[in-house]
Amino acid sequence: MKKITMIVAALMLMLTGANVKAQSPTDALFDKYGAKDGFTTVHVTKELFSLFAEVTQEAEGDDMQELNKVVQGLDYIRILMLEDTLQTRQLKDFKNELNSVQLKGFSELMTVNEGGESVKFMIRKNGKNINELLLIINQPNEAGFISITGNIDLKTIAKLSKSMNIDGMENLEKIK
Amino acid sequence: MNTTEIKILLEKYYEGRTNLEEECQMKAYLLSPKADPQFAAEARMFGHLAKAKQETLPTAVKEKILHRLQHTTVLPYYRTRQFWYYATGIAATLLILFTIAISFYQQPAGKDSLAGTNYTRAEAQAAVLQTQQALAYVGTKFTQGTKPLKELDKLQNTQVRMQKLGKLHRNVKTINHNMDKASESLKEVEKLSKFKIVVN
Repeated sequence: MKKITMIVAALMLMLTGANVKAQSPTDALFDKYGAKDGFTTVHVTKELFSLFAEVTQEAEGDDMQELNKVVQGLDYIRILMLEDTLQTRQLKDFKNELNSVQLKGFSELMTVNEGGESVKFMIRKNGKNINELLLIINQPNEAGFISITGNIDLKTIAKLSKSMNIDGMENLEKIK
Repeated sequence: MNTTEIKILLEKYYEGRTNLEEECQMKAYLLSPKADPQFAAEARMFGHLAKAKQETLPTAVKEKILHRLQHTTVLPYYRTRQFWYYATGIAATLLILFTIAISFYQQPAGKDSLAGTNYTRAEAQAAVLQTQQALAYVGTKFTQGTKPLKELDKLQNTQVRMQKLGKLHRNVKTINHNMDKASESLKEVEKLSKFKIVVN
């Protein structure tokens, strides 16, 4: 009886553990603002990444192959953006909250400032590998973050952007 | 009683079919000095049983047992081991059901779902587009951020090339200088060749 109880308890732990997602410091923000007006959220999971090869098999070009290669190592991508808003108070409050997120274990890679837009690159490393990349975006009328977790190869991502010939924040506006 | 009757009674006794009267008769015979020697083993057994019946527990031991019996606390059911076995089992079952229910609830249901998943082709295509755009944005900003470093690299490479050119220039200068010297020496030799050398 005692053995059976222990086996059941172990099974329970395994089952409940499978539902526990890796925690990121931005999770709370994502959950808090996810359903609010003015915010755009995107959450692409590992399961969806695994379908990319099937969905893009008809598309031609090396960039699709590169994309598939990049996403195979990823766990998820999360985007939270407060879109072009006239509510300055909401934007100000959100920016304050975004800047006060405790980023324990992260280190700043660089900050790119261009035309009033500031993008801060934060990374969390495990040995030599980058486990999480966090982009904190600040614009005069928009703010948000992009969080990518998994095995991240920044050089390949940079190459990918060249081959896709996409530039600027306007492309993120299409994400709905 | 004769030995045959005793044998029959003993047989009935071992089979548990004797009544009290028969047992008394049998015991009386076996414990009497007249008992046949072939029943010596049975006589000894009944002798022990009769002795054991007469034995009593010492008063101190009796009191101790009674005391323990009177002061034994009966645990409430919820504190017994049996209760916890059942409770753990029920809790575990409920947790399994809860986890399955939650997992089922979290899975998005959809028509035309891709094989082995709960996502439709349209959803997967939208995810591809979103991922592509997000990665492109990250890549673009990364390239922008690292561009000054590349320029710095280029400048350094140019400097190295300039240094190499400087060295080459110096070497050419030396060669030219040496060539000038050589041509001057040739001119001297030419002048000397015009004189006639007379040997006595």
